[in-house]
Amino acid sequence: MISKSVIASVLEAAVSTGGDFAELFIEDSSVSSLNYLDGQLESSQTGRDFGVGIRIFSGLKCIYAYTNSFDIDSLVETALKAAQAVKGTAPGEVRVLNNVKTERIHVVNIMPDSVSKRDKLEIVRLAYDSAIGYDQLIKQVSSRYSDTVQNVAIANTEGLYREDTRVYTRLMVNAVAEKDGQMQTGSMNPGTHGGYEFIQGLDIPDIAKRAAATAVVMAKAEYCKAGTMPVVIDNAFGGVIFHEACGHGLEATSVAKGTSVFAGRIGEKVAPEVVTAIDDGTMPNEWGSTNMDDEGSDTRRNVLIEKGILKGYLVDRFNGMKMGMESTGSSRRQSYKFAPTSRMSNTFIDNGSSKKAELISSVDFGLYAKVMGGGSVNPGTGEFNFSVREGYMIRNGRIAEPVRGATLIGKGPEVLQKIDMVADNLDMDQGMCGSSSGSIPANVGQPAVRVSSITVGGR
Amino acid sequence: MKYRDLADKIFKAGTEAGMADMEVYVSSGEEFEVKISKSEIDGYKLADTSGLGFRGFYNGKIGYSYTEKISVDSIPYLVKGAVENAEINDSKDQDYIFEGSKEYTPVNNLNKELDAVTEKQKIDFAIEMERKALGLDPRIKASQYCMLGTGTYASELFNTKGLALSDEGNFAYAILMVLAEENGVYSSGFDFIIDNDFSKFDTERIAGKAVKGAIDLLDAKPVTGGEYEVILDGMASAGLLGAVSSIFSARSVHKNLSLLKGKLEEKVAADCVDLIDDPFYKGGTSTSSFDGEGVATRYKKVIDGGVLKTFLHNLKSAARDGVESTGNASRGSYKSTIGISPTNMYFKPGEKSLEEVVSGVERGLYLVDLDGIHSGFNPISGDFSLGAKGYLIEGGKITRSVNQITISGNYYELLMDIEEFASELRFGMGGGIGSPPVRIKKLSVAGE
Repeated sequence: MISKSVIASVLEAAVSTGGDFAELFIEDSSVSSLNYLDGQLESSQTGRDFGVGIRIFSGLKCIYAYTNSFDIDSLVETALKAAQAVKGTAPGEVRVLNNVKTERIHVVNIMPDSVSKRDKLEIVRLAYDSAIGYDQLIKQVSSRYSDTVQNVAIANTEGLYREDTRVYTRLMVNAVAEKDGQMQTGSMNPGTHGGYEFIQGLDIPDIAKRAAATAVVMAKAEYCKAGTMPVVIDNAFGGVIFHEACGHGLEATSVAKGTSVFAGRIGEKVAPEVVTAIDDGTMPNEWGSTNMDDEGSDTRRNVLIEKGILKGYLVDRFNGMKMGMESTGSSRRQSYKFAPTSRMSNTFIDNGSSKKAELISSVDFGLYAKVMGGGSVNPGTGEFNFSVREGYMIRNGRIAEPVRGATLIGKGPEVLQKIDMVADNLDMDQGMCGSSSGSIPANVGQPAVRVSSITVGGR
Repeated sequence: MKYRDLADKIFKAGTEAGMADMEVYVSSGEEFEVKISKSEIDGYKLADTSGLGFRGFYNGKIGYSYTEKISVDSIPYLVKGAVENAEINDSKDQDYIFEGSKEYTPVNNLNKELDAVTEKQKIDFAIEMERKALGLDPRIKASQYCMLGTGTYASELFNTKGLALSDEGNFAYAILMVLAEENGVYSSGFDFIIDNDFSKFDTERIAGKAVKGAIDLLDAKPVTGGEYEVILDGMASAGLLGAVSSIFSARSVHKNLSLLKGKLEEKVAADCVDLIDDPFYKGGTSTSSFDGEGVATRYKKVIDGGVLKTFLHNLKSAARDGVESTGNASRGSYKSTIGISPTNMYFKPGEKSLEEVVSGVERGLYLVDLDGIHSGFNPISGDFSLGAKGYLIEGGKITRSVNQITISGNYYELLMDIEEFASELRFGMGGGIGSPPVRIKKLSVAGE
C-alpha cells in the first residue's frame, strides 16, 4: 500500500526526537452496505476508508497521530509534528523492516466485493419479506447487509512489517411489532470474519422469522414487575452480561489505571467454581477473530477465569509496559483513527455440566431471559444495566408468561459471584463493542447460566 | 473554495458515465486531544483528516459513494460505486439535488482566539483539572477520564445545479470523570464542557462538579419503591430526549416508527413544554446556515405550548407530505446518506432556579444520572426502565443521596406529566440536544 522505504522514512521522523518506539498502521478498506426498510431500499453505500496512524512511545507516554494523506512529504510532516511531543536526546533506532508472514486462519472463499449489488439486494429483500409476512402484528422491518474488506499493514521501529486482510460479512434483521399502540422489537444479526459464502449458507427466512417472533411475543406480553429474584440467562447473546460487566474490567486499559475491580487480583477466586471464562481470537471465521492483532502480534486463546480463579487479563503492548506484562495479542482498533488498546475478541463463559432444563426447574419464582439486549457498564464501579429483549417468568420450575420491559441491574463482580449453575449449551452471538479504540466486531457467548439473585427492573 | 476543481472533474466523469445531476460534499478537519492520568500524559492525539462524499442520479435514481483518498485516482471508484448503487435503488420516494435557497442566515462558528491557545496551555489545563479534583477530597482515588481536546473543521458542498456552499468552525472540550472509594464502596462523578470560547473553561468548576458527584454518592442508598415526583437534571433529560429525538423526524413517521404519527396540531405534552430546534444557537455544536442538502436552516418550535407543530423534514420527506423542507437534512459525515436530524434541539428553560424548583417538592427525587439509556430505553415504544442516581428531596430540601434504583415509565406519558422547567439549560455530551432540569409529576421507582 505504501512502500517500505517511505515507511522507514516516516518511522525515522517519528523517533527523531528521541521516542523509544514508533509504529505505523496503514489501512485501505472498502465498505459496502445496503439497508432495506418499509418495502424499499432505504440506502446503499460504497466507500473507501484510507489512512495512516502513527504511534510513538516515550517512556510511559503514548502519542498518536493520523492522517488521510498518502504522499511521503505529508506523512513525514505528520510524524515530525507528533514527535514534537517527545523531548528526548538522541534519535531512536529504526531497524530494517522484515516481513512476518501472516497465516490465514480465517479462510475466505468468496470475496464480498466480487458479488454484485443486485445479489445483495435479493438477500435483504428476502429477509425483509420473510419478517414482514410473519405475523399481522409486524408493522416494520429493517434488513441490512454489510461487508468490509480491511487491508492493513503494520510496521514498527523494531523491524516488524506485517500485512493482513480482514473480511467481515453480516446480515442484520430488525422487526417491529405493534399492539394497542405499543411497539416492541426483535432482531437477529449473524456475522462472520469471512466471505460471502457465509451469507449463502444462512437460512435467511428462518433468521428473519426468529427476529419477528421475538417482537410478536413481546408485543403481546405484559410488563415485567420489578424486584429481586433468581434469573436464568440463556446462551449466545446472554454472554453480553459477562462481556459488559466483567470482560471490560479484564482489559488492561482499565487494569493498568487501577480503576478495574479486578486489578491486582490474579490468582484470587473471583467467581464460583462453575465459571470458566475464555477470550479466543483464533476461532476460525468467528466475528471477533483476527489473524493478528492491530499491533502485529498473533491472536491467541486467553483463559481469563478458570474454575472461578482469575488467571489473566487482556493485554496490549502499551498497557503491558505499565503492568510489566506481555501482550496477549489483544490489541485492537476500529480503524487508523484510533490508537489500539486491549480489547475482547470472542469472549465467553465455557460449558458447564448442568442441563438447561435443570436450571429452569430449579427456580420457583424468577425470570428466564431468553434473549438479551444491549447494555452498558461503568468499569470503575462495575455497575451495569442490560435490557432483556425476550423474557419470561419462571413459576414453579416452569417457563410461564412472557414479560416485556425487563432490565437486569447490578454490579459485575457481585453478579459473577452469584452464578451458581452453568449449562452445556454454549453458543455465540455477534455484536459491535464500543470503547476507547472505537467500535470493533466482537462475539459474546455462554451456555445458559443461573444467577441466584439479581435486581430486575420493570414497572 | 479548495475542492471546486476536483468536484468539476468528478462531475465530468459522472456525466461521461451517463449520470445526470450530481453533488460533491467534502469535509476536513484537524484535531488535538490530550489525556492525563496521574499528572502524566496518558494519551496524545493529533489528527488531520478529510473525506469526500458523492451522490448523483443515474436513470432517474440516486446513488451514493465516498472516499477518504481524495485524489483524481479515486474518481473512477466514486462514479462506479454511485452508478451501481443507483442501479439497485428501488425507492418510491423522489430524491433531490437542490438548486439553493434564496437566503442563508450567516453564522459564526469560528473563534479566532481559540487558535492562540498553546499546546502547553491545553496540557496544563488538563493536568490542573485532575490535580484539583484529586486535591479536593482524599476519597477521590483516580481520574477515570481526564482530557482536553480542540479542533477545527471545514466543509464544502458543490452540485451540478450551481450550488456552492461552505462552512467552517472550531471547538474545544474538556471531560473529567473521577472515581471515589471509601470502605470498599466505589462511586464515580463526571463533568464536561464543550465550547469554542476557552475563557469559559474553568478547572475549578469541572473538578468541583465531578468530585461532588462522586463523593455524594459514596453513602447513597436506595429508596423504597413506589411512585415519586421526580426532577431530572438537564443532562439526564437531554440524554432521554436525544434517545427519542428520531420520533420528531418525518422519516420515522413515514416508516411507522414514531407514535407521533397523525398527531400534528394535537396536544402531545404539558402546556409548559416548548421544544425548540434552533440552528443559530450561539455556541451550539449543530449551528449552521445550511443543512445536509444545502437548504437554508431555520428556527422552529417543534412543540409549542404542548402542541405538536411540525415534524422535521428534508427535501424527500417534505415532498411526500406536500410541505417545505424544514432544513433538517442530516449528513452525519461524508460517509452518510442523507437523513433527518434535529439541529440544536432543546426544551425552553423556565424562570425559576433549580433550587427554587427543588424547594417546591414535598417528597421526591432529584436524579442526576441515568444508566442504560441505550439498553433500557425503547425509543419506538417510548418505554424506559433505567438505573438512576441522585438525591432524595424531603420538605423541599435535598436530604440524602440515592442509588441502586430503577425508574420506569413511558416517554410519551412523561411529556404530558411535565410540571415545569428550571432555568439552567444544559446540552448533553453529544452536543446538539439540551434540556434544563425538568420536574415530572410522577415516575415509577423500583428500589428496596
